[in-house]
Amino acid sequence: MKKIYKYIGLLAITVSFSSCEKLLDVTPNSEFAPGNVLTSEKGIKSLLFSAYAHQQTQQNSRFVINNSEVCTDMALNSAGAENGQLIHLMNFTWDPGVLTFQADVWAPNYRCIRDANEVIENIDQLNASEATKKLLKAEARVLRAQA
Amino acid sequence: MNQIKKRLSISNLKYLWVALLLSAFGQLYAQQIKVKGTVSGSDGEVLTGVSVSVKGTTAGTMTDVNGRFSINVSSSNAVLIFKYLGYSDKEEHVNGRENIAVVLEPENTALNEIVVIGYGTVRKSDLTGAVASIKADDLTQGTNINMQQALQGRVPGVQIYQKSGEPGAAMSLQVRGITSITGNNAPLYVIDGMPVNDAAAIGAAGVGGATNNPNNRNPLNSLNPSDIASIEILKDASSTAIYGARGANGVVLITTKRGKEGKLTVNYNVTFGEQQVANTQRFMTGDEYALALNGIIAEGNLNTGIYQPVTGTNYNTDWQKLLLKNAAIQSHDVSLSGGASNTKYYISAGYFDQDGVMLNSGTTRYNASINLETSVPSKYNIGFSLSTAYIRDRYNAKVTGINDNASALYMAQNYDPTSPAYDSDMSFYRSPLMAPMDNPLAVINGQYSIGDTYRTFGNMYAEYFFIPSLSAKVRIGADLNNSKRSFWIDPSTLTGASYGGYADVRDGKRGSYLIEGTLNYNKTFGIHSINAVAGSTYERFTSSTLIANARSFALPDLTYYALASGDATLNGVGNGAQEYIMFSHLGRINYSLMNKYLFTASIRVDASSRFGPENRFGYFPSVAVAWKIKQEDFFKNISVIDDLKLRASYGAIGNQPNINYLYFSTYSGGRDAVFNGQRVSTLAPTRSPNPALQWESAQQADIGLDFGIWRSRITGSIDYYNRRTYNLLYSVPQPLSTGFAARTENVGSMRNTGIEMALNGVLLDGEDFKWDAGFNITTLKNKVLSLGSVDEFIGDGPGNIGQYSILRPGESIGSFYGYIVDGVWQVGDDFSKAQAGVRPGDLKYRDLDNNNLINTNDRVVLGSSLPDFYYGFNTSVSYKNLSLAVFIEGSYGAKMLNSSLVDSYYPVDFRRNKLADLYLNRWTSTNPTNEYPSFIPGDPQGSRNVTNKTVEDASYLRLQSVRLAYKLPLSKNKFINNASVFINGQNLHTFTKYSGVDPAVNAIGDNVLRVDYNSYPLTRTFTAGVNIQF
Repeated sequence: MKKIYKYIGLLAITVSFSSCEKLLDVTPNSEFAPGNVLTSEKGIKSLLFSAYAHQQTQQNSRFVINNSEVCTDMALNSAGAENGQLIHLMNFTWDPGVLTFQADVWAPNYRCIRDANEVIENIDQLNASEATKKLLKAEARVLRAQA
Repeated sequence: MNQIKKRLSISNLKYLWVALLLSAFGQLYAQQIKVKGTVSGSDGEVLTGVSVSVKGTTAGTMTDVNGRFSINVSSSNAVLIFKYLGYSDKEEHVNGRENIAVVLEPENTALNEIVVIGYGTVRKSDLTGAVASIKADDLTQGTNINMQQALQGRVPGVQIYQKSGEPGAAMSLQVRGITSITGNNAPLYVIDGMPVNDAAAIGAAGVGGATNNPNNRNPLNSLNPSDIASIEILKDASSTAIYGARGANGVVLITTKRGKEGKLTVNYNVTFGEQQVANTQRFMTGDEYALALNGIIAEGNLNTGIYQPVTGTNYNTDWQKLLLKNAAIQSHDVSLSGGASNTKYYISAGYFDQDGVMLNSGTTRYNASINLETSVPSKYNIGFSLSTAYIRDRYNAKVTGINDNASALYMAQNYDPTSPAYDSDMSFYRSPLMAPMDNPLAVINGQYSIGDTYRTFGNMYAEYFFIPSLSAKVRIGADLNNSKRSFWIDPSTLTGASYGGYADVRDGKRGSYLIEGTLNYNKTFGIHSINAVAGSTYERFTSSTLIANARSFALPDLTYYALASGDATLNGVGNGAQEYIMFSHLGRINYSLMNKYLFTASIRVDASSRFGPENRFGYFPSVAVAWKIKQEDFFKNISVIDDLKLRASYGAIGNQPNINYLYFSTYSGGRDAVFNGQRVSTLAPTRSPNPALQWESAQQADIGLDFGIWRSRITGSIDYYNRRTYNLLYSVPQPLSTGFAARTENVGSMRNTGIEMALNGVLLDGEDFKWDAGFNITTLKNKVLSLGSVDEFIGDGPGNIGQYSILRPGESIGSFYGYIVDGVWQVGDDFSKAQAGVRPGDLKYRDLDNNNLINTNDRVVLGSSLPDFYYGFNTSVSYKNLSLAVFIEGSYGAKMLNSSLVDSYYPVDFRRNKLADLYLNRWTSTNPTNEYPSFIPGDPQGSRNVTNKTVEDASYLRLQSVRLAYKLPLSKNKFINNASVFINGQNLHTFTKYSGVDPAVNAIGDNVLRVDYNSYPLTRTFTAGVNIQF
């Protein structure tokens, strides 16, 4: 009987301490670790392409047009849900409550800068030819400047 | 074995409790008479571990596994005292006898009910924490799909509301207010000792078009409420700290029904009923619509090229009515239970079917469960419980979008009421003025989804008693949720036509696996009584999803059953898998001195993989004391009061984020780039990681008083609570320049305080006539104390509401932020104070900074979504076999944003239909009201969606349930033991000033801020049923 106690105690201690940290190790199966992405040419290219994507296909690009053109005589909006925001632009009375600048105009560009910056930061560790590195870095810099 | 055990018990006593035994040895020197005997319960069962002591001395012993005891007394006139949990104390005069057989009577008062607490049970009178215990009989009877419906309004400190009237829709259950901003605010649910993984297996997000449904079905729907024996709600830190990192929002312990010793009992319960729409919002009829809109055009001299007058044939279509109907509800529950001396069983099966009052919605559940237990007192205890359910859900589109992405109900409320529903060729009529909105009937019939949920949870345990007072228990359990959701957008809808039909099938799995071991120690030594538990648990939670979709179908007839018949080049796939692990140690000791002074201390150490290695461990201790004042000698003579107990507790409890992997950086698929006309896939950072992320920690103090007067005719309790949450988890908006929208951080602190009170009274207790009543009320005050270095956060609402909420120190969480409307600008007002271009008939917003411009500086806090107090009242009257039960519940002071008002005040389109009350009573030059504006487009102040006009008071009082039951008079010894018939009405009437569909909904799925966004209407339900017991 005493033996049983010993075993239980031993088991409890073993389970408690020795393997605790290991027990809590989890792997995000469906997400890429920075090691996968930032050290391979394919990975860093995908990141660069994301910077391109934020420049090419901005969400709701109509807002970019609407926001700039209603301030001129080129466009007029007279009704609809967007009128609630655009009327402030037409009257030059916009304030921080007009979210379209932030959400539709600036945010995609900043996401482009974010991805381009990561490419530039990590390109030197890449296992690739100097020419490739130079090219990718240059592309990222152009995208960043453009954004 | 017996020998070994006896030896062990003696050695154990010696080693652990030497001091106590030493005091007993004093007795050995006096003249000794040996008294032997047995102790049994009134039903004949042998009682083990009964404390036997000699009155006036410290000598004591306990009965062994056969109920035998042996004790030395100093005189033949000595008096023996017998004490046992759940039984009345008994004093027995020895009177010279050497062999005594004692029978203990079970205590029947409510105070001696056994209450389940975390990792153990305790007698109600020995509770030191704030724990509400509800037996099945005290739940709201009726046709309830889940236990929260039956619990609504019954427990002080627990606020429950149905988020929408959809069959099976998620419920919001909050214990003592809001703990967290963006962390978890739902309590931990523990079913038969197994914490369940109560997240939906498939997210709310749907696919393009309008099949989204922001309100998931309630995962607890898979537990049939008729299988529940009792529900305990742990509210204060002393009772919840044993659940550590998941205890901050309270813990709901659900105990399912067990078999009772005796012959087979069969119970069958059947109900049938009908549901009606309780309330709809009144929009203009075709005639009113034509009158109002043409009136506005005339009054405002509007350009009829842009604002087209209402002309042509008026069909007066009531679009809402076309989507709604009366719907049937039924349930059948059958259970078989019984047991022999050592083994007990309970098996049950149920069927529940609720059709929705909106077309194409409903839920059907099939479930079965089994509970088995076998035990020999003080030797071993083995049990197994398993519950499994299949649920088929039918969803119509309930999104919070606008235009073509809106729900069918939204379209019905907004669609031109002069239009016909169908064209002359019986196709859906579409008014060109309503584009891009679709015909509501087309949407409700052509955009829908079905859900299949298979959920099984259960656990088995084995407890072995080394000695009667010491046992070890091992429990293993699993909770598996395997769900599928299939979406279909038919080409007969505008969205579906643009896709050529769209099908999306999602498969989601969730699993949680538990293994735990505990040691339990339970012993009474004279005036000391100790009950202790210590153990470790390991839990692993997994989830995975698989998504496939297709469009452009050759023939759409097979809907989501034939993805392969779509255009293969347009197919989409996706999948994901996640896991997280918790590993914990726990311990608790309850100590009772002279059955007057009770002490509890507990601790849990949790380690969670949701945090980085430095912040992985959380420590959650608690202490509590209770004083049974009634047991004091000076109180014994006050016979009016028969129970009085003062409690106080303090402790730390935790909360963790709902999301995995927040502490490290990863990459996932991003937006496609296009090069040379080819799409190229990309990778982008998944999140802005926060390696310093740690537990949200809540510290809660609780002071409570339990009382019973006039032989427990009136019982009650009152509690004061104060809970501060530190290191609040919040998805903090990040500077735009980071490229990330938000990051989960620990910021600031928040406090919830309140008083909760429950009173129950037996008002009349005659032979034939009985009347009892209960009342409970909870006050709630929330205050954000600090947000770290940030002054305030302003949040965005669903749909096109825009900024609507604020988090600011000093204010309550869930506060609406917007403008004050003082009235309407009238002819003759001083327009020098108005914004340029404002006309008579425009809304008069309060210009707080007096700059003649209405802008974001003019916003104020408009009130909070949290009520000041909420309450429930129930009463039942019975005369002979007839009984009537009435239940009323309500809440006061909560605010809710009514999105239908937003859409009417600030319409998306002039020609959309609007709320009748607003437009028929609008400002005109002949009706210069201050209530409603002229609604003439062109107000230069813009859409100020969140105002004191659109944020409404959602206080209400509701006649929630009335039930009339008749117990059939049956002669004894018949086949049928018991039979009763009943009729039941639910949600019969609501008293409220709120103008929307219902003051207690929250259709957007956010538990903190309440927005009535075209909510699925609540129902009034009438059911009739029979309960038979064989």
